[in-house]
Amino acid sequence: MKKYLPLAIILLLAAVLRVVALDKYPAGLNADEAAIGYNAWSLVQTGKDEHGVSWPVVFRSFDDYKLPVYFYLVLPFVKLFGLNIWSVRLPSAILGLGSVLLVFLLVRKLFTNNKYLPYLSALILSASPWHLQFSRGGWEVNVATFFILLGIWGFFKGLEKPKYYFLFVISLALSLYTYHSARIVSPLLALYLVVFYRRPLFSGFTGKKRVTILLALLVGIIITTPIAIQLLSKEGQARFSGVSLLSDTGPYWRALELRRGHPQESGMYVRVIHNQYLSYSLRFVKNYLSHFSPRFLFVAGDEIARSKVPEMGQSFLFLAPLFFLGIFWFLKMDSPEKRFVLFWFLVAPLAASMTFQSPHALRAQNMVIPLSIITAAGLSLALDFLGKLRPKLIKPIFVVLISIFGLCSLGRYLHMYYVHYPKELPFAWQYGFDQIAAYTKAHYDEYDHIVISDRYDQPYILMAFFLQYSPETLQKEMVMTPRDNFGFSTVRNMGKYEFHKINYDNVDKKMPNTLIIAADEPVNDKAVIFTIYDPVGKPMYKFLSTK
Amino acid sequence: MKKYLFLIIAIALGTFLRLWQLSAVPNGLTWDEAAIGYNAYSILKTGRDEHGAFMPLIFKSFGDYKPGAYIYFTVPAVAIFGLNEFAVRFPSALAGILAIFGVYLLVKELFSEKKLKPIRIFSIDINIWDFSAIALAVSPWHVHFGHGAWEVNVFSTVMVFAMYFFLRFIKNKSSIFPLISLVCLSLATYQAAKMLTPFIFLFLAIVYWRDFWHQTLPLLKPRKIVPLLPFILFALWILFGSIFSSAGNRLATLSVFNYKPGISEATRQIDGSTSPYISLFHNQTELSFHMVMSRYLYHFSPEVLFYEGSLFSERAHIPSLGVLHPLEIIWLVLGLIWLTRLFPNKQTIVILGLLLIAPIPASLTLAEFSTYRALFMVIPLSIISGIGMYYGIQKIKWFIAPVFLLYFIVSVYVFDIYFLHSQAVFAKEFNYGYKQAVEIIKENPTQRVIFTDVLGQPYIYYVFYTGYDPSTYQKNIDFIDGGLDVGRVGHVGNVEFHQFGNDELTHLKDTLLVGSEGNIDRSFDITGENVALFKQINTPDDKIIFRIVKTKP
Repeated sequence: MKKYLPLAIILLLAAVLRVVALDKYPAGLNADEAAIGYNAWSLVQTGKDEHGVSWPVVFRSFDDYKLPVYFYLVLPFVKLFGLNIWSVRLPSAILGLGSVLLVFLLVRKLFTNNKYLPYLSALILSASPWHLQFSRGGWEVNVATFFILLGIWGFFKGLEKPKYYFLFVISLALSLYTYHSARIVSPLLALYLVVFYRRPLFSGFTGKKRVTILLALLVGIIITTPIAIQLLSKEGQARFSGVSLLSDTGPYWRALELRRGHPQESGMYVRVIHNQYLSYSLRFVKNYLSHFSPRFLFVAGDEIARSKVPEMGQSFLFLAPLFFLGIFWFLKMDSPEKRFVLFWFLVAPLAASMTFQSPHALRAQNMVIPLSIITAAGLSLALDFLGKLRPKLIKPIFVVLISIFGLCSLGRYLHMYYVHYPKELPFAWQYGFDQIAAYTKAHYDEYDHIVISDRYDQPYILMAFFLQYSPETLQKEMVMTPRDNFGFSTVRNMGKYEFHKINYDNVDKKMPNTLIIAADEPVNDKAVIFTIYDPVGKPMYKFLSTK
Repeated sequence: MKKYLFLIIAIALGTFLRLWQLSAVPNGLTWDEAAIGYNAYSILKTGRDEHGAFMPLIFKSFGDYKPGAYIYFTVPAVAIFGLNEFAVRFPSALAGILAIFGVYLLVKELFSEKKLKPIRIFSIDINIWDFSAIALAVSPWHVHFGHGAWEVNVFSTVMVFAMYFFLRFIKNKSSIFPLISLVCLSLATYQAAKMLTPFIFLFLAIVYWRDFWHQTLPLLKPRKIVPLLPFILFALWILFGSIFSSAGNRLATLSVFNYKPGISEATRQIDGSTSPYISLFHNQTELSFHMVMSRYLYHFSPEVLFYEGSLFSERAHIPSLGVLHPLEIIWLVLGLIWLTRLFPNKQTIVILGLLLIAPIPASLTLAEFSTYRALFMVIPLSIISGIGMYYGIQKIKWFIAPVFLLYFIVSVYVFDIYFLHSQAVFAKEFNYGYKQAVEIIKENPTQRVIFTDVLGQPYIYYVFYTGYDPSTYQKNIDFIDGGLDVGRVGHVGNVEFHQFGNDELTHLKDTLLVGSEGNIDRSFDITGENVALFKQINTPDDKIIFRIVKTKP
């Protein structure tokens, strides 16, 4: 029993960090989470999603065609606990905890003669700001990372017991149905494993083992075929073309501008060095390398408010030297396992680099796994080295020091997450819609129209979520707007509710018997009848009536 | 001869990249460059600097106290080429070229005991040191710093040779004199050397502890140590002397540890002003730790090394690019793999150690990242790149050819950007326009000239481009001290340096007024009755720098 105590402590820490006050922090609920929850609820109630499609394989949502796995994971929770924030976020938190356990198992399998490494890897992942950020919230990507880990663990387990190859194939296939970027990362990882472990994989390729492998392969082909079809379809491409690197015309214009700097614009020399191929390639190199930037990883973190905690990097700053030490250890590449982890680290941000926003903590989230393992390896290396030094006291001193650093960093991170994050970036998680819903529900009969500002993403789905708006009605009323520049659509009308930018003086004031809910649009402050304040106490939504 | 073919190619290429268009790229002159040039000219003519100090070791200049070595290097260049941009930049360019040879020697010496198999291409043997020399020769960072009067570039070269003689010294005592004189020279060349030089030699002494001690012990005998004493005293004087002077004062104000902003209002509001969290999580120790660590890490961030991120101040890198070649990452990774595979060995420790030590002084200053303070990193980085090229060819043979081709095309792209497309950005950063303005002053003699000081230190450009007689200047100097900040000069002869406005433009007679767009704005009537002449100086991308009005007598 004592054997499992360290692991149990790590898992307990991971669970506490992932589950405590999950419904209140992050403060609010974002549009994607609301869409996942509402669609799952709609399926429970009617067997159809908000658009009236029964049991879809791709959810149309805001025309961004979300992948299905997370919706179906949320479904039983919605059925059991009803439509609320807990049901949407709990699956991701649980699988985040699962990832911590899997990292332990995987590292133990990979580096068998390294006593501390599995524990250190799990410990670092359990408290990793990057992994916590996406374990807390209804993030599909976190689930994809879990399935990738499960699949890889299955592969290494399969080298001993071939039946685990089913786990390998099915789990990686599921990751393809969970999050878009897995569609690039998972196949590459699978390919690497099969190619570089072909000898143990195919040794003794007879009898039961052969049947198992061939069956697993067949299962894999069957599950993944629909993806090939999907990728060729219009819906499959829609999402990618909106965010793709190629949709940014900057590099193209840059090449043209550089050409114009030359006296002979279309000479051979000019065309060889200034062309869009080179221009876009350099941009790709930039995007790709940006994910390995120590500034991104340890200091500044992602730019997007939803993916970052103020003043935090993707990992703790004090871990940076250990990370470098770990890289040094892995670069030696003297075992196939080291090569694999390094390969994963290099492949992880590939999908994110093909989009125009980089570095992107969300799309590259699976990077946190090799990152944690590498950092842990650095720590384990340092412990080994210091253990050999004399006087014997050096190692315990180092352990104490690093623990103090760790505790201080974790403490500060938690302080930033629970105190500063909601107050500094209340918009990130669309704070306040539960209160809007509660107010409008109470005063629903007093007004003919309720107009809500569309200042923040997709207000309709948040209202539908918090009002528990009847799915049958929504399916009937549903009219989507044409796609915007990024390929998203939204809903403007839902029963009495309307969603558009508030133009108080010229339009909305003149509407009869209407409740107007404005965000930061200018309104007549004297006529405000009710206000919702953000966590720091500034007005976030102002309610006005034209009665 | 064949043995040196690659070295000759590297030096020839390096020389071309550093000397070609030396005075025109970047198209202007920084304040420091002009000051260095004029002080060298002043020393050449009178033996005194602009402030009248006789052969100083540290030049007061604008009140920023420049280390003197670079200025003395410039004296012969000014004597030969005259007082112009080329002469000011030549010592740095020359240092850049010498550094290629220095790295060759250093790497060769470093690996002398390892029997490395050279690579044979067309029956020519190429070694790691040849590749390192070539990597440095075409390094955009190093080329750019060879194109300007940058002390730090000379410092890097001096350090490369000093390290080479250190490696010689631990085998052969006779190298002690070149070693110790180069160490002293490095200290006199560059401010931050006071930290960097001791760190690096301390590090080398630890790595080669046994040999070093074996060689140093006999030197400590009284008879042997006497000839070394002047050098040691000189080094100690520079190291500790300046700490108590005004130059040391300036250094302290730039330190990270002097930055104490206190608790921000926003934090107070969020945490509540009496909250224990404020002293627990928002204290000065945390801030200083965060600042030093992050600054140190920035030196290894791709956004400064391989592409242009948000950390740059424009002047000291190629616009739109990082400090290194964008594809240099390939060689660096290969080189690091090779080095780690060799580990544990002294070479790996030395090269990686240099790379890790180089950013330390820069991490302790307030500026987030400066390509200038980080320049010494280019030496270990180029060595690693060279190793990467060697390892790449050795490992994957001819298949590496496409990578080299791609690398070559991107190199052409990089230097095309540097020599052709960067001028618009450089014009702003390198004070394009001062030269042209001074030309106009020279062509139009008037009773009085008023020159705006909005772009900083106009006087130095005036004396530089007119070759103003240094002894006259020293006698009539009108320097106004700026305390801890840099000072300014009120007037030189009939040229005054201050701001002016419409009042002066309409009332002063027989005056030449050189102003910015703010001084002579668009509402001013350039055909007005007081105006005898109007001229405008624009950047290459047609932005106004100076507008010049000559009034009627």
